[in-house]
Amino acid sequence: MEVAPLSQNICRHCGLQFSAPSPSIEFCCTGCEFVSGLIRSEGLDEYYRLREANPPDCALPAKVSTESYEFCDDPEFIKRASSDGLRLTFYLEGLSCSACIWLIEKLPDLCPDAQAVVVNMSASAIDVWRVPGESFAAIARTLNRLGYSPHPVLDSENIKELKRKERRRDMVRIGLAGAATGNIMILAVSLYAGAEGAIGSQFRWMSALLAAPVLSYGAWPFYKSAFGALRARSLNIDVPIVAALIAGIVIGLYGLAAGIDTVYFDSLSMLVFLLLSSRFWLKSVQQEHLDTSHLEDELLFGTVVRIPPEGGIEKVSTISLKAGDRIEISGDMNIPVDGRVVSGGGFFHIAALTGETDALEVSLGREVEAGSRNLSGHWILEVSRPAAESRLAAILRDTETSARSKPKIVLFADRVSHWFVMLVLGLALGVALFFLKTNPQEGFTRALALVIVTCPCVFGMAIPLSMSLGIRAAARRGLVIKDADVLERLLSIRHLIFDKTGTLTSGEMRVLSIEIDDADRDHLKAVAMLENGLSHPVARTLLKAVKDLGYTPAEAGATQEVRTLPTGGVSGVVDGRLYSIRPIDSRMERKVEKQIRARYELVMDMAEEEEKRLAVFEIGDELREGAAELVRWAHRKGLRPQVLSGDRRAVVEDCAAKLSLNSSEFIAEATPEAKSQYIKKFGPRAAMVGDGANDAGALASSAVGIAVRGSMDISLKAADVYLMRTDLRVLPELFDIAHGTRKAIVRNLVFSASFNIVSGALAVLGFMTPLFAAVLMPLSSFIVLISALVTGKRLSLSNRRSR
Amino acid sequence: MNIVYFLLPMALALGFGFLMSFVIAAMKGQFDELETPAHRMLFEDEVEQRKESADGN
Repeated sequence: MEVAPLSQNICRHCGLQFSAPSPSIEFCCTGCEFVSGLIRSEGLDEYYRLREANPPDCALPAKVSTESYEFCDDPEFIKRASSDGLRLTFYLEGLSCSACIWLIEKLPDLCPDAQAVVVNMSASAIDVWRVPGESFAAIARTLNRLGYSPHPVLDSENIKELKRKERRRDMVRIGLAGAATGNIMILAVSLYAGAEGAIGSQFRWMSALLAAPVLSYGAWPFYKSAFGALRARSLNIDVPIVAALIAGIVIGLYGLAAGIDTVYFDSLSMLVFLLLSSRFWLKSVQQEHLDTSHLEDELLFGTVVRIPPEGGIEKVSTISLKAGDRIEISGDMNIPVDGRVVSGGGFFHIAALTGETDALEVSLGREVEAGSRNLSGHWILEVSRPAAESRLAAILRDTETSARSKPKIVLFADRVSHWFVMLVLGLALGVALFFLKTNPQEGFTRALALVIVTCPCVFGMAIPLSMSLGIRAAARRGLVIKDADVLERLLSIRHLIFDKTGTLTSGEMRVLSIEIDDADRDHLKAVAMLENGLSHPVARTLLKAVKDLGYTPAEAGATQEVRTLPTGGVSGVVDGRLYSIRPIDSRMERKVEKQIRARYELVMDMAEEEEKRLAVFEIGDELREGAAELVRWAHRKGLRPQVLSGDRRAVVEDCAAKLSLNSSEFIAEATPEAKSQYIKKFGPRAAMVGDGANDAGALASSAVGIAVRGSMDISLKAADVYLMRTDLRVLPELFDIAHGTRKAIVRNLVFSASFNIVSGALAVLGFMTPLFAAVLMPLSSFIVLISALVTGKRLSLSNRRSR
Repeated sequence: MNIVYFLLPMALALGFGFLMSFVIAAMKGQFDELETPAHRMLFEDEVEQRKESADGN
């Protein structure tokens, strides 16, 4: 047969390059071909034209989905997720450019069930209206086929509406304050230029009139926040602002009545306008960056088969399950609820809960927790706790709360800002009293300028913003940080200690080589027969390997006398011959999961107690991609890398050699207790990178525990950081984020301290008018916030480049 | 100088008019989402036209 050279084609739908036997093949997969056909048949070619104008990486390969989204049609689900039963909001993965918006809003042409779709790009969300009586599931499936993954969002219409209204009110306040302040400033120019007499007094009255709505309605949020803090017997950054406003208004009104030149309405309105603007901006930045989706919600979206008491089956949404319901478990599925097995049998594993991938047997009455995964069999589960109340949901909620708790540096900043406010108010009072006898007006002007110009906003706003942006940047790279303190603790790390199995190595066993004579190859069928249905990891690995070679287990019952051997392994009679599969060195069997290499043999019993070795399988675990790179990086950065493993010395030595670590840089045969002890010695200077499932102790006793694998549950309890992706190369970025965040905070503190000292001194010495102060102060907070934001953006963006 | 008594209220009334139109626009939600409309204006028109002409045939 002649082999044609492969040509490199570009997929007409997703734009990816792919190899094909002929240049006339236009699509990389049937999914892309189907979707492209769908788009073209509806005359939506415009999509491809629009896409050309956008960056090339925004095209998505089409998907052939296995998800049916049937739960979207469950009445119970619709009741929870949609207020009117017709609109559903999806969070959409993959929304990236105007071509996406265009295509998605044309969804009614592609899917008759959809009536209208509105994209909200900034929230990566879409609102979908269905044709009454038609199916949301069909709409979700169409979206999925187009390459976007839809995740339904539970209806929080009330909260959204409140937020929306608040935002609109904020905008109106800013508009009002801006318009009034602008006009007041025009009047103020003539007053400062020396307008006197009737005109002067009328202008002053007019500016008071214009300032009235600004200082009442416009400044309302400040009053609310300051009095709220005072009622709770504390001081926040709004207290000095409100003190300045009230004192300014009182003195201003008195001056107006008494006909004195100096009135402060211009300064006060300016202050309110600029503060409102900077707060509004801060709020939108925070909402944009900090609206994290609820981890636990993911549990609630799925389709399950319920068996109603009256018989039959019905497909319902996970959300509608109640305690006492019976659901059918079959095939490869996640179990969404806590429950008890009432009939049937099979195997499942609880890797998501404990990291343990061993198969567990389903037995009558057995408790199964949400997050377990079915492997085989067909069984029925009685729900004891629905998804939202399951233990897993509770754990995920805990994680979210602790991720939102205030880090030490923010608590410290809160305290400092408290003292700062007291100091400023005390100083202002002192200045006013000092001038009381000689020149009360001058004293008051200086005190007012001081209160206005000094600003603890670096403590109150910039530090928390920097921290949350850091966590956010980490989350975008798939690094889940349990609490923000981690970013601080990472800075003092000098020792980076790695676990071996599952961390530096993939932790998954593969058959690396099979030594077998060609004449004996057919005996491999015996391996398939004997290992079939066994749950031991070695059995599954071997079975997969021989299956890949084309030896599939024949019908059940063809094997006899199957038994597991006390030394490890299995034996049984296949086609009248007794075979055994067993480890060559039986001492290895027990700890096979901990090893980098293990050798198994397949032997056949011959006559007279003799055996014939037919094959040798080498099973092992390989270094992960990027592990060597990571170790080199740690060396370069002065983070002394070490391998700390419970594995046998020879195996660890082999692994260390591959990573070019010398003999002082690895420790083998360490028990979990020894690992913890060893790490404790380093105190706050050691970070442990380990497997979430079996290094829990070591992770917990290190200053920063980083779990690379295993369950989120255990990992996030023991560790501080959990890697969502298996690529180790994101670790350097974690350190980059910590250092970047620290730099931004220090920069802001230095700037803010110098600004406050200089401007405060100028105000006390009488070189600063309240108006000047009112412009300068918001300007300084703008600078501080922009500086925090720019760093946060940079940390997030460098991620996108590396992806 | 007396012209000030005429011009000033005029200017303020003008400003008030614009402020009101801003308030109305904000309350109607024109500023709720600023990203998608910026993209949408790139294509809406011509497609609508094409559709109309298609309907007309």
